[in-house]
Amino acid sequence: MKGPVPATRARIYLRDSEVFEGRPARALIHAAFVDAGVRDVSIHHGIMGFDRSSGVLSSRPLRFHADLPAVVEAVGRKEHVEAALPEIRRVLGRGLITLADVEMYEPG
Amino acid sequence: MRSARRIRVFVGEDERYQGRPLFEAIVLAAKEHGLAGATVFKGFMGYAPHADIATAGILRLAENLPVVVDIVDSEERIKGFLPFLRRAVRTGIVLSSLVEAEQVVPEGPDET
Repeated sequence: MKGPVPATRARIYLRDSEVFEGRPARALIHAAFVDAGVRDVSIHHGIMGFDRSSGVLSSRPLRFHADLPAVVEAVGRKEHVEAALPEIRRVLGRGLITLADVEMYEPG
Repeated sequence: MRSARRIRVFVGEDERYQGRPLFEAIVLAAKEHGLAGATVFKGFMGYAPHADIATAGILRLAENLPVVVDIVDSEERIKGFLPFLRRAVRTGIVLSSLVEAEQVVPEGPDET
C-alpha cells in the first residue's frame, strides 16, 4: 500500500428510481466518475430515507415504498472527482452532492 | 457548493427507542426537526463494543446487524438535532464531519 495521499470522497444521494433519458441516473453517475478518471466508485442501496420532496421511504412492511434511496460513492484525486461534477449535475434531476477530504491508500 | 455537516449514526438494527426500531426513530425525528434528508444503510457484517460479530451469512446469527443513518444539513440544524441523538442513541456511535454540499433540484416550478 502506498500513501496516504490527499483525496476527495464524493457521495451522491439520489433515489433509486431516478432516470435520465430512460437510463438509471445512478449508472450514469457511476459512468461519469469512471470517465473522469476516478477509479473507485460504488453504488449503495439505502433501506429507508427521505428528502425535501418526499415522505419517509422505507423497505419496512408498514411503510413500504418501492422508491428507496441510493448513494454513489467515489474516491479519487480531487481534480478527477471535480471533473465529473458537470456531467453529474446534468443527469441528476434531484439529489444531493457532497464532497469531503479524505486520505487514500493506494495499492502498489 | 457550500459548507455543511454530515452525521453518520452507527447503531444495531435491533436497537429500539420508544417502541420502534432506533434507526427508524432517528429518521422520523430528523423529518420532524425539518432536516433536509436522511438515508439508512444496512451493513451485512460488523461488531461493536456492546455486540458480538453479527453477519448475514447463514452459519452465524444474523442478529443486530449494523445500520448507518446518514444526515446532511447545515451546521446549525445538525447542532439542533444532537440533543435528540444524545437521548436516543445509548449504544452506538455518532460521527460528525464537515463536507461541501450542493442540493440538486429540478429546474422550473417545484412539483411538490
